[in-house]
Amino acid sequence: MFVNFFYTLRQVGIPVSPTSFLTLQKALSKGLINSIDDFYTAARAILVKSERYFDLYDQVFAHYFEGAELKQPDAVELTEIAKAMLEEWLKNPKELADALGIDEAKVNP
Amino acid sequence: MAEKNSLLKFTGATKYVLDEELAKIVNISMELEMPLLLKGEPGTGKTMLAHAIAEALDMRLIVLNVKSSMKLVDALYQYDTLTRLNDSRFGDSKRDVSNIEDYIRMGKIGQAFVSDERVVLLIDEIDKADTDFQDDMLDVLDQMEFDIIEIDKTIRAKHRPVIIITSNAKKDLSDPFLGRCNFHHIAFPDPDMMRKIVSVHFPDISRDLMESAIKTFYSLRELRGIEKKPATRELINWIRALRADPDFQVKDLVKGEVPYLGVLFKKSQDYVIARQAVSRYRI
Repeated sequence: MFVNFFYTLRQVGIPVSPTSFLTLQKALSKGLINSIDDFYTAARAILVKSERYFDLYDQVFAHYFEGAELKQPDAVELTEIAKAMLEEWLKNPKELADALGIDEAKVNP
Repeated sequence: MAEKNSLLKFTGATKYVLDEELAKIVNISMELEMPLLLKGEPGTGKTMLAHAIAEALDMRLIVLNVKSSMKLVDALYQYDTLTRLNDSRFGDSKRDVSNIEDYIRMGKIGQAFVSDERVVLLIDEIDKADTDFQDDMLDVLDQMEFDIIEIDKTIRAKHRPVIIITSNAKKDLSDPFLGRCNFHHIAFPDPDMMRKIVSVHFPDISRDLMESAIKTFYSLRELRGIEKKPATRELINWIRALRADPDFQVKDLVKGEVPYLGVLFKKSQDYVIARQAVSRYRI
């Protein structure tokens, strides 16, 4: 079942959809997953849709199955996260400008 | 199970080195009948995987090369009005002008659906197309059927094809799209993996050449300010060039000379940077 695993993934911010969780259940019930390694690979392919979250996934996996401590992001990671968010915003300057309520031309460098 | 065996068998047999993890994901996606989305640096073998699967499972491969201007219907079918007009004007073909179905040509997805055998359908570089195309296409692949409006006929897939989708991550794919695929990111091969890949392509390569070529290759990838780092494809082509040159000797590489730099760096700026670095550091 691994429902808690699913919720822990969501908690750390990986966008895991219920549909994909059901797909994972289907894979389990079909007998496609026979070891913890299989589970690691299959669950990642089915649940995690971007390599951006592979690192977080590894941490949650280690936490859930091996009891490793789930650490808070440190300074370096926070910078990375901030950078990713900034890049995400800059993809659409117009949206950003609208959100800030200023002219789009001012946002563009 | 037969599928699994043949997939495992082909790891060493053909020109594709498959890591165990990817093999598992391919097998699971086939079992679950879900498309597999592959991302990764250009030149790390995303497209090659589909070829390898088709070869290993002895299935036909149908490739849909996505273009930015492409409409979904182009990938499904085409109604060849021009030929029909021509036939009605001159009437010298065996086609029946009053029967529109004679003028419907299947596109790549259509071909995969009507094929009498299960095929591998490779949808290459999906990120070039716009979001509507992507979502609509997955609808069709989900339902495994589409309508031909002109003759009011529904085409249903005889066999669900094995679907491989590749993306170079130029644009982010939409969430509904991602939700319907399994995902794998092909990481850049580490030197050990790269040795395997090189020896599959050049079974008779000398140890010296392989070691120095790979060493030079990885240090060139480390250069700062390079826009397009050389990938597996470039390395293979480069080694091919080195081997084809009768004047080339392995000790040149050890000394720090790098011939055929243009094979590795294809952007002129990158080439200039690499050229300078090579002459400066003699890497």
